[in-house]
Amino acid sequence: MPENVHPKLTLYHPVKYRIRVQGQLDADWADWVGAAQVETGGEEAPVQVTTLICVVDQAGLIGLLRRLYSIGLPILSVTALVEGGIVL
Amino acid sequence: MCYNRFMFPPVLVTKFFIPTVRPKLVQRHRLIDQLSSGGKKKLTLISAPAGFGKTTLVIDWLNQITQTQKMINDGHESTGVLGLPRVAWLSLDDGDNDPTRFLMYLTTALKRIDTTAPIGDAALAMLASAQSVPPETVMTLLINEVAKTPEEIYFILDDYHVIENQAIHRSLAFLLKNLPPKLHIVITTREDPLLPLARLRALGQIAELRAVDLRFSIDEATEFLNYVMGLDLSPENIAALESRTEGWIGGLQLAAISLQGQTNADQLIHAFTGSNRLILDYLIEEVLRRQTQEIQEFLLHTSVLNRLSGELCDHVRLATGQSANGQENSQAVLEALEHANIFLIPLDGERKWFRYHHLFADLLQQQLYRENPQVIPGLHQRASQWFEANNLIEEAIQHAFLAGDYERSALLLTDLADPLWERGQHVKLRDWLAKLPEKNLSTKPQLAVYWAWFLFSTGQQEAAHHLLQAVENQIEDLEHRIDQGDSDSIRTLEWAERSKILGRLWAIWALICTWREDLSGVIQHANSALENLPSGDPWRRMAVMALGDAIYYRGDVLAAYRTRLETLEASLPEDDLFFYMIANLKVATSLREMGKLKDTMDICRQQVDFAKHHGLTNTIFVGWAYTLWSLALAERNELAQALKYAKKSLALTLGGDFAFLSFSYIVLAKIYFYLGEFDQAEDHLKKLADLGRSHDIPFYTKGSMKSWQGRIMLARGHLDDAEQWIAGQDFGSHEESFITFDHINLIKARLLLAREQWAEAHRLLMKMRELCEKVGHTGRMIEILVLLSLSLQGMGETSQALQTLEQAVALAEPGGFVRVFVDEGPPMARLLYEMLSGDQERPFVQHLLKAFPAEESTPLEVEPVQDPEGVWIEQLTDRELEVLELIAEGLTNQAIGNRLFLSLNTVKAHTRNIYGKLGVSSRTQAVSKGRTLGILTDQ
Repeated sequence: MPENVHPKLTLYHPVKYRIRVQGQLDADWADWVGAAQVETGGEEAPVQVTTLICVVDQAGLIGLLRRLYSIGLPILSVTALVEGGIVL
Repeated sequence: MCYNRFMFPPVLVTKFFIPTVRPKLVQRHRLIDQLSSGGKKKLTLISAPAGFGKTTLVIDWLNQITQTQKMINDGHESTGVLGLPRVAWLSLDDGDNDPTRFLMYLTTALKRIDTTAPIGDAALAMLASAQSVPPETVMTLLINEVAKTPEEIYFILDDYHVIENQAIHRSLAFLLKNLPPKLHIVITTREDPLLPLARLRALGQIAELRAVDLRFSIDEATEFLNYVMGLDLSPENIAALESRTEGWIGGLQLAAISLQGQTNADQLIHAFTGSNRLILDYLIEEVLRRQTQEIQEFLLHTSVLNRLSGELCDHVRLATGQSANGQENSQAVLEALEHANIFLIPLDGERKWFRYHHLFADLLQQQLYRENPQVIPGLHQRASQWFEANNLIEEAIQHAFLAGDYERSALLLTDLADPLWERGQHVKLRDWLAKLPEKNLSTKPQLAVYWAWFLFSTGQQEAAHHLLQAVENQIEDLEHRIDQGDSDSIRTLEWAERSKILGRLWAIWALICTWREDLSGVIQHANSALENLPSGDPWRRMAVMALGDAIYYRGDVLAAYRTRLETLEASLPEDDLFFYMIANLKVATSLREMGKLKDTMDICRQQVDFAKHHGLTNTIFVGWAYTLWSLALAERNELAQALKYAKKSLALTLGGDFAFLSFSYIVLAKIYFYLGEFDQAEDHLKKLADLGRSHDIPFYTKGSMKSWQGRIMLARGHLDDAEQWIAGQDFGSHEESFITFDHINLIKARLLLAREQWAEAHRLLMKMRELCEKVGHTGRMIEILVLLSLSLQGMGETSQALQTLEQAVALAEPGGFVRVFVDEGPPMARLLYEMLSGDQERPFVQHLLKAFPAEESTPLEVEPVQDPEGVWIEQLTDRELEVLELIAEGLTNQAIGNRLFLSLNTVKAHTRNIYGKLGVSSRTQAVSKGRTLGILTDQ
């Protein structure tokens, strides 16, 4: 098993999350909110959706959600990415 | 009131300043009405994102209630009943995440308001005079003071979302739970606080305003844009803006600022409402674009500051060359920004300190971070320098951390660590130390020692030990280099302070040894600590306490007494009220061990009065005083009073230090044992055992706990259990500790007596007597002699038995020990009665005999027992009431036992108890007193 792959979630292992927010966020915000990747453009018209990908532990996740809140983006979903039963 | 040097630690008065709002405001009658009707509840919670006008609304509301109330008062001057409501304000920031600091600001905010009865003196005195105070204790003092003032008080905690410390949340929840009716708490926050909100909602004790309530309606948006901001927008444009911002006030305000003075409003609004970009991303750019280059940079660069003054901004801007041309004009810029409504809020009346509106500061910081991140460390660095030069060290440290300059942070912290420690801001110190990388921490011995203390106090003894060793090695290296002629080393701070560093290091080491029951280690390290620590250093206390205790556990009561007395003589109440109490109570502990029960009680009484005088009534140390006091009362057989005080002590030590709490449990178990209520006694021992499973409790209370478990087995007649219990005890590991050794042997001796193995009991007790003589523990000696006399009596050596008992009586008389005799029941009563036969003038022996239950001392006329305070009668338990009723029916003890399925001994114990509580000494008196008091119905 690669080092960064864990069979289950813990409070301390950084894992990959996909967070979807309503609204448009330019890619140059990625750094500030702490996301690895920011992509705008969703299929759920008429609302605009921005998808953020990040690798964080739980403390990092809470901090990231706070930053999204502080710039006024309502959250649609937060998902831990799982592949083949393993948390990424 | 006693003030000391820490009474007035520096406070930032700007935190208490109610921010001024512009005279022109949108009139929000709907919300003001909601607040006014909800304001009578315990808590008003205003929870919404940044930029929803939370703070402005609260200020507007407060202005209205104070004005309305003033008008009412002016109209009814003659009544003078209505006092103007008082307002206490506290603006929180992330530096407030230390319980002591938070409480200090909270209390100061209340103290600053003008009330009929002053608030806060007692709480501040406590915060100033002790290094670590339980938050609930401070809150209790405040609650009691607030309850005395007739005025309504509104207390606003602004920006509560910055608080993350659990202890602060708990203390606020405690305040809310016990809130005096005249006090109302108002919280503004961006996130729902970790308070029991669901419970408050269920009880209807909370009024809430949330974003959905706060957002501007179309009418409010119109009033805001066209009246407050002086624009002249068409209804269509206003509707477009309101829809795009969804009533978000911060967005509307940014939009308004970018529209001010523009002629092409239609076009700008069209561009804004047509854009999908993040609103604030779009608007901040618009706002900045309308400023000159200089102002733009000013805003961005000063956005890293939590508060701004002209001087500070001048200095910070030097970092980027902004005012290098000598035109230091920041004060003028600040005033111009305020005048132009650019989100700048004055923090005092003199326009010296300002802050940006939080939302605006956040936006500027984000903008700066994205555009020009490389200048940020330099800005913080300059800010740190300015704060240091102006002796505002805490802020200097904050900015040094933000600059990522850990070495500077560590150096600044080296100077601040002692004051923070002495002011009780331990959490703050710990959090800062935790942020330092290992290399910056371990190379600063002063800081490393503090870190070792935090490791020790959170149960990480191994890590603490390693760190202390590393520090010791560093100092040794330094010595070595100096021996080799390295003159640079002589000039280092570590060398100048090496005594202090080593002294503290050894003080912690001594505590680690106490925990491990390594008593010679304690003595060695505590002595080294005391040799090295300068007089007046607060760490000396730790060392002397550890020393006195270790000497006692090792078994030298007199030497421990001398050490504790020296400690007391060297301590002054004005240095540290708590330490002064501890030193007194330690002396009282020694006096009890020496058999001086009256002196023990005197000191306890003095300390309770002392605490009361200083507003420290509800503290753990008062709890401890009551524990000791009740222990002495119990020995003297004043059981009702002892029980009352033991219960008080439990209430005060619950939720505090486990060493004190476990002592309270032991004493309660002991008193219930004396009262014959073995189930109750076991119940308290069980609580202690549960505590011991989840937390570390001191080894000596573990010993007491076990010995009382054994004692109850014996008293219930479960001799085999007791024997197994003794077999399970490990003597080997306690060789050093007289206390543990003695606990086990006393049970063993009692078991032998119960089995009538007189000679064996006698052998063991003689050995114990020899050891105890060396130790000088009078209380224990009386017990040993009492048991010894019983063993002699069993062996048929009556005259020797009486001789031994004479010695016990002689030791017991000055202190008034009674219980130790009474507990041995009829055989002891017979021996004592025999002592009287030759000489009837022995008041103390008569006093002892009176204390035996009626059947065991019938030959004597018994005087009624007077309640020492003459007023207080403790309520009878249900079971005691049942017994009293059966006594009234004329049943014998045996018959009562049969009726209630109780053993004869238990019935006797209940009877004794009833007598003690009612202050009577016979069945007839008990029944008649019961009727007088109305607890027995006349039949």
